[in-house]
Amino acid sequence: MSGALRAMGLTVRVGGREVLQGVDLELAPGRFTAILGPNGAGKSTLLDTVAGTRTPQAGEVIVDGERVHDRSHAERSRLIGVLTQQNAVSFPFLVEEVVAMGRAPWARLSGAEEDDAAISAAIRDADVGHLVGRRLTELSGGERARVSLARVLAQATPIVLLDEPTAALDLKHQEAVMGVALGLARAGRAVAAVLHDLSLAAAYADRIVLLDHGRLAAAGAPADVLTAATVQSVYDLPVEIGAGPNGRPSVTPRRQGA
Amino acid sequence: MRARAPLLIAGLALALLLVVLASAVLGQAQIPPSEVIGSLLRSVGIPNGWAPDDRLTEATLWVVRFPRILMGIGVGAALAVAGAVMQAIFGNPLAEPGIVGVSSGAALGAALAIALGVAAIGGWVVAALAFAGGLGATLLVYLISRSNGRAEVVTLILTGIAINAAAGAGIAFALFATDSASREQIVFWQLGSLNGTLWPNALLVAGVAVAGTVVARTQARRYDLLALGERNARHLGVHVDALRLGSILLVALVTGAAVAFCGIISFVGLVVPHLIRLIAGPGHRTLITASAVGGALLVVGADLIARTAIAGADLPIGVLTSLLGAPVFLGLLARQRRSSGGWA
Repeated sequence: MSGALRAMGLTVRVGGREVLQGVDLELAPGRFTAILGPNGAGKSTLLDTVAGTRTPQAGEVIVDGERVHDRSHAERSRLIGVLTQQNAVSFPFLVEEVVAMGRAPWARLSGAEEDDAAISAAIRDADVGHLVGRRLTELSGGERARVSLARVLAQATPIVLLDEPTAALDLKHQEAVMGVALGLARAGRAVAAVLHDLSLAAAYADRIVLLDHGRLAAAGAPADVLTAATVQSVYDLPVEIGAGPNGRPSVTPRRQGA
Repeated sequence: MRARAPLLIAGLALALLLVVLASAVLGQAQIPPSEVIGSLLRSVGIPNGWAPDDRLTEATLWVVRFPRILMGIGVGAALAVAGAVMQAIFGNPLAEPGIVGVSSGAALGAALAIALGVAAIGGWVVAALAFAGGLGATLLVYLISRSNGRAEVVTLILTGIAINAAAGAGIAFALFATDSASREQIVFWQLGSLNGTLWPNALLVAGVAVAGTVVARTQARRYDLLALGERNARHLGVHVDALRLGSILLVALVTGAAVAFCGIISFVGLVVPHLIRLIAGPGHRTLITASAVGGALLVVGADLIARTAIAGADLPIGVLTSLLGAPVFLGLLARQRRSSGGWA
C-alpha cells in the first residue's frame, strides 16, 4: 500500500453550518504537509473526514484507488493513523498498554515479534521509554500527548495524520516531534499535521495547506503560502515575514512598541 | 500485572468453590461436607459410601440449596459483568446498573407485570417486562448523560437519581393500585432475595450470565480501546456505534435476567469490577472474567450470610450487599478526593 490520499470537494455541515466548503487535499507518500488556519477553520474536521470517521455531505476521499468511506473500519485503521487532541483515558491503563493499543488494527494479521518491534520503535521515537511502567492517568498533559503519539506510531500506517501534535509540548519535545513527523515522511509515509506555530510549520513542512472559514485559502510550498498578505488576510493580524533557516519563511506578528 | 491475572482468577474460583461448599453445608439443617460431596458424586453416576441415605437431607440439597446456590452464581456473575461492561461504554467507573437506575427500571417492569396480573401467564412474562424496563432505563441514561463519548460523573449520577425516582414512583403506584397478595410479592421482590429459587429459573439466569460473560469477553479488546475516547477508538478500527448498541442490549439482558427473579441486589456491579481493577489493572480481558467469578463469589457469600446470620430468618440479600457496598462506595469517593480533589 503506497498511501497516496486524495480528497476532492469535501463539504461538511454540522448543525446547519458549513464547517468545510469544497476543500481539496492531497497527501503523497514521502511528503510532510502542514495544515494551518485560525481556530474554527475546520482543520480537525478535515482530518476526521479524510480519515473516514466523519462522512462528508459532498466530495470524496480516495486512498489507493478506493473510497475511504467504502472501506471497513478495520481496513481504514490499517491505512490511516490519527493523533487526536484528546489524550485522556477513562481507566488507569499503563503507558505500555496504551502504546500496545496502537497494534489493535493488526490483531491476527501481524506476529508478536512484529508487534513488539513496532511498539519499541514507537516508544523510542516518541521518547516515552522512561514512562512505560506508569499509569497514563498520572502523567502531565505533554507526557500524555507523547504517549498518544507513540500509540499512533505503533499503528504503523502508510498515512499519518497529527492534530496539533506539538500543542502541549515543551520546546525540546516540539522540535523532537516535528523531527519524528518529518522522519516518517522521509521513510515514505504520507504525513499531515495540524499546527498553530506558522514558523515551526514553515521550517519542517514540504507543503502547507491554509484553511480559512472552511475554505482552502492557499496551498503550496511554505514560501509561496506564507506571504504577509495571505497570512494577514486569513488571520486578520498584521505580520512580518522574515528569513528563517534554509531560506524558509518565519512569521512574527507585528507588535506595538516592539 | 499480566502474571497476576491467572492467579487472581484461580484464587477467586477456589474461594467460590469453598463458599459454594459452605453454602451447601450450612443452614437450618447442617449437612456434613462428605454427604454434600457424596450426593453430588452420586448424581453424576458415581456410587459412593458418603452419599446421604436420608430423604430429607437429599431434598434439602437438591430442592432448596443447590438451585439457590446456582442462582447466586448466575446473579452475581450477571450483575458484575453488566457493571464492567457499563463502565466500559460510559467511560466511567461509577456506571453501575443499580446506581444509574437500570435495576430500578427492570424492577418497575417486573412490578407492573405482577400488579397487572400478567405474571400469571408465566414466569417469563416478569422476566420479559424486567428486561424491557432495564433496556428502557439503560437507553435513557445513555442518551441523556453522554457527551463526546464520556459520561460526566455528575450528569451520570443525576440522571440515575431521576430515573430511580421515576421508577420508584411507578413501583409505588403499582403497590398502591394492586391487591395485597401482589403487594407482598412486589415488596419482597424489591428487597432482593434468592429465597425459594426454582431450578428452571436458576438454570436460565446462570445460562444468561455465562453467555453474557462469554460475549463480553469477545469484546474485551474493543472496550480497552474505548477507554481512549470514542474518536480514538474509531481511528483504531472500532465500530463504536455497533459496539455501544450491542453492549447496551447485553447489559439490559443480563441485568434484566438477574433482577427478574431475585429483585434488586445493588452495588455488586460497582464493587466487584472496582476491586478487580485495583488488583489486576483495567484491562478488560481479565476484568470481565474475574468480575464474573468475583460477582458469583460475592453474591453466594452474601446469600450464605443472609440466611444463616439470624437463626430461622432469611434476610433480604439486597440489604446485605448495600450494607457492604455503601462503605466501599464511600471509600472510593474518599480515595478519589485525595488523589484529584473529587470527581469532576
